[in-house]
Amino acid sequence: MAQESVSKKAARFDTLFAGIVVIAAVLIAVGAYARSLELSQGVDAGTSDQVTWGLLVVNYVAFIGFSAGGVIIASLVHIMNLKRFKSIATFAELLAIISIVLVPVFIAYDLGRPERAVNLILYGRIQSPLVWTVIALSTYLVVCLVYLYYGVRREILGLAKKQGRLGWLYRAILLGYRDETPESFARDERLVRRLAYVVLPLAIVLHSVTGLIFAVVSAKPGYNTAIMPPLFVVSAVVSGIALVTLVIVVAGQRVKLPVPPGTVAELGKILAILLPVLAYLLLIEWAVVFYGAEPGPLDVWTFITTGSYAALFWFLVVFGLTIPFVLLALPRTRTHAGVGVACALIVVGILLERYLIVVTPLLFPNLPADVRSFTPSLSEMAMVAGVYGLGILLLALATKLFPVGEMYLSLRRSEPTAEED
Amino acid sequence: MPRWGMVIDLDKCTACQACIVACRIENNVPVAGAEEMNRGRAIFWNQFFTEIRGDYPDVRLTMFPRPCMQCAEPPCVDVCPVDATYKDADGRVVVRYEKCIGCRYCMVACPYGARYFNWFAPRYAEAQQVHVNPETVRDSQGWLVGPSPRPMGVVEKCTFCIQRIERAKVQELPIGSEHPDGIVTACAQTCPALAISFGDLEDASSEVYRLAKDKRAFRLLEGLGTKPQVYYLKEV
Repeated sequence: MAQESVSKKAARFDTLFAGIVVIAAVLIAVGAYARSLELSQGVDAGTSDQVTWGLLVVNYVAFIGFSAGGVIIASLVHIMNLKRFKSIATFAELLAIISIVLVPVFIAYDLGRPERAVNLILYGRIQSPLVWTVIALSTYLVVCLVYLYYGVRREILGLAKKQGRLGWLYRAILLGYRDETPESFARDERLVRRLAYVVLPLAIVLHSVTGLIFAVVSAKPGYNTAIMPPLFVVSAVVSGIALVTLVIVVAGQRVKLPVPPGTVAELGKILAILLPVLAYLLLIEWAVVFYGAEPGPLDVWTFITTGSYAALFWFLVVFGLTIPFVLLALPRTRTHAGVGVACALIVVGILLERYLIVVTPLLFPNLPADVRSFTPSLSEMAMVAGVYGLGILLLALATKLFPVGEMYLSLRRSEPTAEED
Repeated sequence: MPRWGMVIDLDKCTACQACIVACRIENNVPVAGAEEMNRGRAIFWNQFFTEIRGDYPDVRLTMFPRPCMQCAEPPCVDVCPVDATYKDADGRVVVRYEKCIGCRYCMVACPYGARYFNWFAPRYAEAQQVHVNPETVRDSQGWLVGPSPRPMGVVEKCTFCIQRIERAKVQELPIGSEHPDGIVTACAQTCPALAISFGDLEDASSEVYRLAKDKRAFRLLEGLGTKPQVYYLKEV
């Protein structure tokens, strides 16, 4: 029966899918065009010599963070043994991989000489936190790819057997794998379970290292605090789970993701526990800064809380932390839609948090000079939109070409998915 | 090995800013227009700072030029991911323009704002075109570190006029302010008040060695531990 519906679907023209592909392609083209103008006619981003990192670095940091979602859900399944999330684990991992793949694009759009990015490998200096990120991120990407591959190999084998139009693709990806014995499947499951133990500490390393990029800069009050790495780890976990949940709410049915009832609410509950942890870290940071009288950090946080960035900051506090927490904490509002709204707010809130953390400390010079303002330029926004477009395109293609969600149901329905936990 | 350093006597400085102009011409930095100034993208290898402290009638005005501090513990070098900026054998912090990927991490790390990004290809006003310095300096590994050709899309900064010093070494000319015709940086040479001294901080007979030990000597943002090799002499 499943086979029938799949072949029927393939024959019908998918307007929504086509529309998404076209919109994504337009965004990518606009972003690439903005970038080409920057390379030929000079960089036009809103950045200056003082505020040298802008929207692209904010997004670079944010997308490293988004990749945490897949890892956390994988570790919930395999380390905490929460079987309920098993059916969404590989999908979460796919989102993580797409987030990671976008990171080098943000970097390439930000570098003055992107064609020299290979120098990071040829001449990489291990003393630089940027090189730590390169190492951590590429290791992480490889582990996540292996995790995803072995996580869906059984489904892809099922797809390959159906002799559809894309049979050649599935066979190519399987690299000759044909073993359908339960032992073979058990072997894959075991590998995936073990990888969860590798990928979790790796994620802590990656997000800590991202925080360290900023924390080690002793010249910049606001960056130079030991709270940065843990704050980045928690921000990453919160934003990652929120992104996965948001995508499941928006597109889960569409991509035929097997989501056992109650999963979304359960993810919402996890976020309701984690949001206060994030708020706690921020509160500790502020307590130390505002208790003291050291002008550096005080200037930065006064500027954020009551200065020019007050609107952004209070939006973050109210709409990024408080309202999502309330929506997720109350069982009455922890509905499908309620969780979706809360997660969308969290994703936006974390992007704002990254913006405040990355940009604000740069506005303040160490020597007697004016505080500079920063406004993202159109060109920067176009480039960022282009990368978002690429992410949407990758997600649409991956779920279209590999309808593993449907296969999951037909192959593993008999197995327990939503166990008591 | 020498360790090049500079001492700027703020008591002698008249704030004429000739050093800023001389630097620009010597190192092929295009003259910045109003647009670059407004966007915060005007390149000043040597920048002039003005600080007004206190309220009327107790106002105190301090002015000082800021070349690269050529720190002994340079935070910019620490963070460079590709070894494009490093502390050379003469104690200078130099940038290998052809190696730099333009990530601008060093600009974030530098507390002095001494590093500038090349947003655009150089555009010289007509008056500057005839003064473009054709000298090219390469380091021991063959990387371009000197003023010509001007790079784009990378970070650049004061080099203590590396082209002058390296040329003087080859021609065996005396280097340092203590010599009557000693080779010095463009800013030091042009200073009409003789406020800027340049020379070898390791050489006990040099002027900078003596002045750096003066009672009035201080360095910018000393609390950060960067150990600048540019000293200032306090106004008295």
